[in-house]
Amino acid sequence: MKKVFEIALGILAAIGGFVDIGDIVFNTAAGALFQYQLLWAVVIGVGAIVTYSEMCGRVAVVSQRAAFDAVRERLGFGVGLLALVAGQLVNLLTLAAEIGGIALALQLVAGLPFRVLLVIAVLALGLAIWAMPFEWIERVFGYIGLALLVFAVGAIKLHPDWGGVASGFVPHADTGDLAVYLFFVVGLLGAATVPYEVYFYSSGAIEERWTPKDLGINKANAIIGYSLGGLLSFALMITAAELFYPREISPETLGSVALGANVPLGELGLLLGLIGILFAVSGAAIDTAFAGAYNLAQFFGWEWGKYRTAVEAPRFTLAWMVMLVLGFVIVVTGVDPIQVTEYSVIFSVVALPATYVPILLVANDRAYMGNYANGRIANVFGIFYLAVILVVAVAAIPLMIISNMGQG
Amino acid sequence: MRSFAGCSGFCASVSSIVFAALVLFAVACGGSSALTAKSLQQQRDAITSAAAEGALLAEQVADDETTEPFARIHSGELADQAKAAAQTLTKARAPAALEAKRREAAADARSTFVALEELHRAPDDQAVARRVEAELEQLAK
Repeated sequence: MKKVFEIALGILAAIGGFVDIGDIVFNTAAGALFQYQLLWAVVIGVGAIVTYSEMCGRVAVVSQRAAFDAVRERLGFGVGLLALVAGQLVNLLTLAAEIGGIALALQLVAGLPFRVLLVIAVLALGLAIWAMPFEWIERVFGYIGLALLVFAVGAIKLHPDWGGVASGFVPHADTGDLAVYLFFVVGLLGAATVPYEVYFYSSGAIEERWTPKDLGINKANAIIGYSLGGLLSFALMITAAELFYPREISPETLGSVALGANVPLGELGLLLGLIGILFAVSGAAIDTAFAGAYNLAQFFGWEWGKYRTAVEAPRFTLAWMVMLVLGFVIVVTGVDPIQVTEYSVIFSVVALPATYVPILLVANDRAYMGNYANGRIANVFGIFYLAVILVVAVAAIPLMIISNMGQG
Repeated sequence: MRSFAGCSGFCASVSSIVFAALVLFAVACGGSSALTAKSLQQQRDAITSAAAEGALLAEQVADDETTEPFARIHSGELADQAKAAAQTLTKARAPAALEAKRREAAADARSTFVALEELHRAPDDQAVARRVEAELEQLAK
C-alpha cells in the first residue's frame, strides 16, 4: 500500500511538473492559429519524453550514471564539450524565459512592476532551492502546478467540437501557410522534449537514491505521469482553439493564456490558472537551474547533488547560483520573456540529439545495464523518436527563418 | 609602416562594411518602411486580435468576473500592442493602391489603443468596461 501511495505521489508530481513556459506558449498559440490540428504533435512529443525519461531514469538507477556522464563518455571530451556548451546555452535561455514567466504571472496576480517582481522571483527561487529538500521541491511545485487542471475544466466548459478534437490526433494540414504549420510542429515537439527535463530526471533518480527496486516507480512516473501531463497541453490547446481561434485572436502574452481560464470559469478560474502557471513555471525554473549545475558537475567530475551540503559540493552549489543570476541578467535587460521562450524552444530542438543519442547508446550497452538494457519495445520507440528528433533538429532553424518565427 | 598600410586598407574595408550595415540597420529599424499588402494585412490582424481579446477582457470586467490587477495589467499589454501597430501604420509609406487601407487601419489601431487605455485606467469600472467592450467588438469586426 505504501508503495502504491509513493507511486501515486510521484505520478501527481510528474503531471504537475510536466508543463513549463514553452508548453504554455506553444500550445496556446497553436490552438489559436490551427484549432485542433496540431494535437497529434503533442502526442509525438509526449511519446518522446516518456521514452527517453524512462530510459535515462533506468540508466541512472542501474549504472549510477546521470545523463551528462553518458554524454561525456559516449561522445568523448571534444564533442561532449560542444554538447555541454550547446546544452548550457539552451538551459540558460530556458531559465531566463522561466524567470520572466514567473514575474509575468506574479504581475498578473499582484499588479506590481515587472522588474521588482523579477528580483522577487529570483530571490524566491534561490531560497527555495537552498532551503527545501529535493523531494519537497519536486513535489510542492508539482502538486500546486496541478492547479493547471483548471484549463481542462475550462476546455470542457467551452463545449469543444469533440469530433474536431478527435480529428486533431490524425496528422493533417488544412492551412494556407505550411511553413508556419511546420514551425509549430517543431515548437510543440521541442516544448515537450526540452533537454533540461531529461538532465533533471536522470540526476533526480540519483538524488532520490533509487535502486533497481524503484524501476517500477521510474516507469510509472515517466509513462503515466508524463502522459497525463500531456493532457494539460491538450487542455491549453483546446481552450485556445475554442476561445481564440473563432475570434482571430493571436495570443502574445501570458495574460492571454490566463484569460483562457478566466472566461469559462470566472475569477476563481483565473486565480487557479495563474497559480498553476506560477508554480508549474517556478518548478521548471528550479529544474532548469539544477540541470545546468548537474551538467557542469557531471561533465567535469565535480561532487554534485542537492543531498550534499554547499560545503560538500561547493562548485555544484555555485553553478546553480550562477545559472539563476545569468538567467536574471538576460531577462532584466528588457527582452520579451515570451520571445525568449520561443527561441529557447527552437534552439533546444537543435541540441536534442546530443542528449538523446548517448542515452540510447548507454541504455543498449549490456556491459553497463546487464539485464536492464533496452528490450525490443524500448528500442523500437527509442529509434523511432530519435529519427523524428533528428529530422526536426535539422528542420528547426530553416523553418524558423522561412516562417518568420511563426509570423508568416 | 607596411603593417600600418595593410591595416589601413583592411580597416577601411571593415569600416565601410560596418558603416553600410549600420545604415541598413538604422533604415530597417528607425526609418519609415514601405508597406506591402502582406505587411498591411499583418498589422490589420494584430489590431483585430488586440480588439477582440480586449472585448473578451472588458466583458469579464463588466460582469465582475475578473480581478483588478489582471484587468489593469492585461489591458495595458493589449493597449501596447495596438499602440505599436498604430505607430507602424502611421510612420509607414504605402503605395497609392494601399494608402486608403493604411489610413483606415491606422485609425482603427488608434481607436483600439484609446479604448484599451480607458480600460487600463479604470480596470474595475463596470460601466466603462461595458462601453469599451461594445467599442472593441465593433473594431474587431
